[in-house]
Amino acid sequence: MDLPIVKYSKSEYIETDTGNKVSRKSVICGSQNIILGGKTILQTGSVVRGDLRRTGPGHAVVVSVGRYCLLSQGCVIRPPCKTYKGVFSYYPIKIGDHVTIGEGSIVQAATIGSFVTIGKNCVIGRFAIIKDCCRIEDNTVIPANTVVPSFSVYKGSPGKLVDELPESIQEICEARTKDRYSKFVPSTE
Amino acid sequence: MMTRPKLTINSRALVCQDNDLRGEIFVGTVLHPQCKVLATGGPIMFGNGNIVEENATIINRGPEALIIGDNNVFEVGSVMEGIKIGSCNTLEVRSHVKAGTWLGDECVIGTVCSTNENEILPDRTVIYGTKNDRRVFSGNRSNQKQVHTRHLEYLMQILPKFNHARTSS
Repeated sequence: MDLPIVKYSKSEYIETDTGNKVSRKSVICGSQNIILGGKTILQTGSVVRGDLRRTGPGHAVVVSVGRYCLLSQGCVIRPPCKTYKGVFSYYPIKIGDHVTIGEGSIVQAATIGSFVTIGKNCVIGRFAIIKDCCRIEDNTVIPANTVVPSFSVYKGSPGKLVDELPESIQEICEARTKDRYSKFVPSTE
Repeated sequence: MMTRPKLTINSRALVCQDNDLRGEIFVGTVLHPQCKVLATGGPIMFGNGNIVEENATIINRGPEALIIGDNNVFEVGSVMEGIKIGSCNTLEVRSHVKAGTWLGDECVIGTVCSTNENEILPDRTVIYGTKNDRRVFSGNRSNQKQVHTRHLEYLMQILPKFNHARTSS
């Protein structure tokens, strides 16, 4: 599968030393608590909430995103919250490498593994765990506290297992995300 | 041209910047960044202890005031276009309360669910599933109230550290 070249206006995106491309029109709260692994793209209108941190002293990483990830337009990444032993707190969210999150999806998961593809307008509930090499189809709702096993395809509301992925999905996903990053280039004029 | 919103914020409220507020709004509540409160018609009056998360939209197009009760939660991406809402309701992620709807107390509109237009929902209605099924909740929500107060305390403490707050105009 050959991806088209996507051009962006150079004034809109900021490129960091590690190759992250972050849109100026995205909303990032509490940026000191967010780690982007490098070569990750944050598109227009995406919201990342690093301000909802765990209570307590010291430095806290709230959102960590791996390498070669894509957070598409209008998606929301926010840490999950619960009361534990009578204390209300938000808890960190960890996203692996080569993860794609589709347009308008809302993610409140605890963990998302590597090589995961999440479609458009999905809702990933609080403290859901998505293991490596999964695909979540468009408009799927994954309820809170769900564990999505590796190599599975989930679809529907609530999301159910509909298919399985081949073992080669890891290489396919890796190739695709690298290809996508290399083809996300500034327009020349 | 966008006119400046007319905001009245009481002492127990927290309104972040970077949100879209229009018209006449009375706030006694926590508004996260990126939420939209559009009083294009009449004013919107919030009660105490509501939480409006990012991308949530509250619209009042009609001439009458939209009165929102106490301790409601509008989660990420929810849309509220109704004409009245009671207390202790939860609008879950990307739920939609359509125009002309009356919401009682302690209702839950589930994830991606929506109400019908001009509907009156009695107290404790729960809407769930892909077909917008409904039932009346018979359990005890005292635990939920406790969580809500803790959530409010947390937000009042943490949000001002990372976001700039708006003041009354």
